[in-house]
Amino acid sequence: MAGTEGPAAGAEDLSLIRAVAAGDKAAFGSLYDRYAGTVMALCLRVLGDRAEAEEAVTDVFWQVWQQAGRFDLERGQPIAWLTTLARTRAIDRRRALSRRRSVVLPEDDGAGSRTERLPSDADPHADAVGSQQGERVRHALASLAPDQRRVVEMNFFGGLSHQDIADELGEPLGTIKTRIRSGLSRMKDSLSAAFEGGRP
Amino acid sequence: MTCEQLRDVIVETAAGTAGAAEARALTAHLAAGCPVCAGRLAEAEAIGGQLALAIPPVAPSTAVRERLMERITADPRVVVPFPSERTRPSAPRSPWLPAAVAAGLAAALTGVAVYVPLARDRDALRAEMGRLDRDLRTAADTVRVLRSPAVQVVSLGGGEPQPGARGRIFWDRARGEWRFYAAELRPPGAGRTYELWLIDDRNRKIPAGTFDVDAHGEGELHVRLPDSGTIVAAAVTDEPVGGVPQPTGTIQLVGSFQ
Repeated sequence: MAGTEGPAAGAEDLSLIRAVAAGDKAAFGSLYDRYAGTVMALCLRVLGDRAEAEEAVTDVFWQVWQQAGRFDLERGQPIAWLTTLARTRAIDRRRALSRRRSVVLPEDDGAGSRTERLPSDADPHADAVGSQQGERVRHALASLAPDQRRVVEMNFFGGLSHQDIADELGEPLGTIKTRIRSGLSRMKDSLSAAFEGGRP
Repeated sequence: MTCEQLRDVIVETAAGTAGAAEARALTAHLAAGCPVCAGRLAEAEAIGGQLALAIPPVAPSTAVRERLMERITADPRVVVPFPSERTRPSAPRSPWLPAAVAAGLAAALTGVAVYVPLARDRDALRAEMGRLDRDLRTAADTVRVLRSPAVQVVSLGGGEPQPGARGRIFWDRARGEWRFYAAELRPPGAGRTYELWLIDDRNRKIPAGTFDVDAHGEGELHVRLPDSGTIVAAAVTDEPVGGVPQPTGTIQLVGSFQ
């Protein structure tokens, strides 16, 4: 279901990853149910095509099955690993298809009005927690200056490189890099404050 | 490429948009054991993970799950787990125990605990062994510095904004090497970072690098400054991201070598 985060979710995710590494198919199914929606949403943003996005989701979770034993706790939480895999696989697929396109969030959609909601039928608590987390992240995104938010979204949701963004917006590459860095730094502060102030 | 040059490559890697050459450069840099860039990558990926939660999830068709479950059921993978975890123990540790030493000790104590798949996954084992080898080499290097009779240890106390923050410097005078560790520092504000300054006997401030802190408020820097005989103090200030040639921010940590 909807991705969750926070200490409890992180510990649960880690248990699932370890179980998957040990060949536990049920754990794999649970991990899929927990994050397939988030992975699919990311892949859809990058690829803009549902069938291609589903292929990318398959690639991502197959890679999870094969490489869960290599998951490095020092690199962060499983959600970070999964979403990095999702972005990378989706962009690889887009490059392979030679279908360069820019998929940018509309200014007013708060990250996703065009997308289909994942039905909430398996884990209402996880959904509720995920929804709260998502709301905090959306709030943190909304707190960015519009030009910062735009480039962060183009990079992390649209799968456009810094150079692609500079070309698309007709602005110097250095300006784009600085804007993204500043945006991420501000996101980090906002998210840290949000999680310290009211973790579910 | 330097750590500074790799900052944007790290962001692009977390976003999945790094080019092949950039990715290779970062991989080589990380393989050399740079803890600063490893920390920055973990942080960028963590933010990337959080960002993904801003998008309402989209359900793939049920056929995707069914195909995957069929595929893993048919997968002949044989798992040979070792008796202990391969990840670092989560027991509390001293904030002064260098991360590399902890990683090295963990690897030694757990008996090179790796996950061994079949021969087709030999590359995974090689990668894991490479990682452990790097950890151990870094740990050995750190232990060498700590055991050196030429090492001077200096404690830094928190400045007015953060009286509870602490820092410690291991200064190998003979080699001109400085290992700085900070603990209980709050994350710097938006667009800010921490910068270490070495101060000589003429009150000149020498910039020694910028660093960020992790969720535990811990950060570190490894600095080589061969001609450092006249250094009498060290301080940490908060500065704009990227650092500045001379301090402009507030002193967060300070300590004297005299």
